Amino acid sequence: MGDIEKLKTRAFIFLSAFVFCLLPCVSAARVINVPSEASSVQGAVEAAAPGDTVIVSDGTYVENVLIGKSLVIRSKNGNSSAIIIAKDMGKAVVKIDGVQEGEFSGFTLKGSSLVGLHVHGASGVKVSDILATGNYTGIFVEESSGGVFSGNTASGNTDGIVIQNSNDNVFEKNHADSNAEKGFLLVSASANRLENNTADSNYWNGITLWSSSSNVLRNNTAYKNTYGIVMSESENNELEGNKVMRRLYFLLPVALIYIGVIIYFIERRLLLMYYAVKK
Amino acid sequence: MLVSVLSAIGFMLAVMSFMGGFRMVKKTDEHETFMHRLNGYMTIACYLTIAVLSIAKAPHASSIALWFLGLSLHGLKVFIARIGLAVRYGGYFGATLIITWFVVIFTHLPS
Repeated sequence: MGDIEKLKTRAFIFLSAFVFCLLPCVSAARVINVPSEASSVQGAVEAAAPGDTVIVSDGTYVENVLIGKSLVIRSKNGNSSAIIIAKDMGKAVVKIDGVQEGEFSGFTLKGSSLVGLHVHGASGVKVSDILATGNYTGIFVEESSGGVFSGNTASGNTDGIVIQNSNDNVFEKNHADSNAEKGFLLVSASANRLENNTADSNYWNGITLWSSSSNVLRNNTAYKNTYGIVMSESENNELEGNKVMRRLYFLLPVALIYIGVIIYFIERRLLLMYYAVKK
Repeated sequence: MLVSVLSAIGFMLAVMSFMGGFRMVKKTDEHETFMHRLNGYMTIACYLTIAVLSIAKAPHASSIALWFLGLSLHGLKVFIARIGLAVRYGGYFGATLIITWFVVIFTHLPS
């Protein structure tokens, strides 16, 4: 065996030993099941390492969840089966704080006098299939960027979805309907994209932009609100293909039927007079 | 705005014609027939005007098809009345036209 061959063999043995030594240090992403492996969602979050997946089975969980690391948290069978109710009403039901690239989907969040889902200081998180109801604010996105929020419903709250000091997020196919104040509220938020969302039957505004610029609002509907889309101190926003119909206009056909009936009787009376004179 | 006003007028005329039609089922007076026809033809005139304005603004095939469908319903109602089946079927078709006008007015409300 030549020197080069010996060198190659030694190098191979050395590399193999090095990789073998490293193996225990590199652990694969774990899957933690709730409630079989952790009794609560918060317990699973605390037990998990960044990159792990938490799968939550059907049930009602009374707790406040704080997620401070990059995890994938999903319910097994969607938001109608996995319900989280705030244990402390004064806190968010679920708070995602300072997380990068996490995922949270398939839960009903209710019972907070503050907020259902609070996404704070996060970037690139994906939130989907969340039903936030019976909270002060349904979904509150604060100081976050690059997130994707799709297929969520925020109904029966005081405000539906609030986006504050947050940029470059995408909101698509969400429903912010039947809230006591506003559907979507953007405050000092810029370069967000709102597409194919509904903001119907809210008491005040469907979609509100306050001090928010360069956002894109496309193909959203805002029906039966007191005001459809309201913008204040906001510039360079792109609005395209949105459908707006104020609540007031739904009464219009009723008024027109009433006026039509009155005019009909007046017309009839006039014609009767005309025929009487003619005869 | 013009389309919104025209659709409101058309809807009122459709209601007036519908009421006249119902009264004609009970009793056919000369003035009632005149009113029913006058209101009806003015309704169709409004419908055609709105259709032309809307198609001119956005000439999509689906839009043209739907306007044509609505016009066909109006025509069918007139045809039903002309062949002497107004008492039997006129009420149903009159109600269909009112629904058509509901659609027209809701799709042309100012936003």
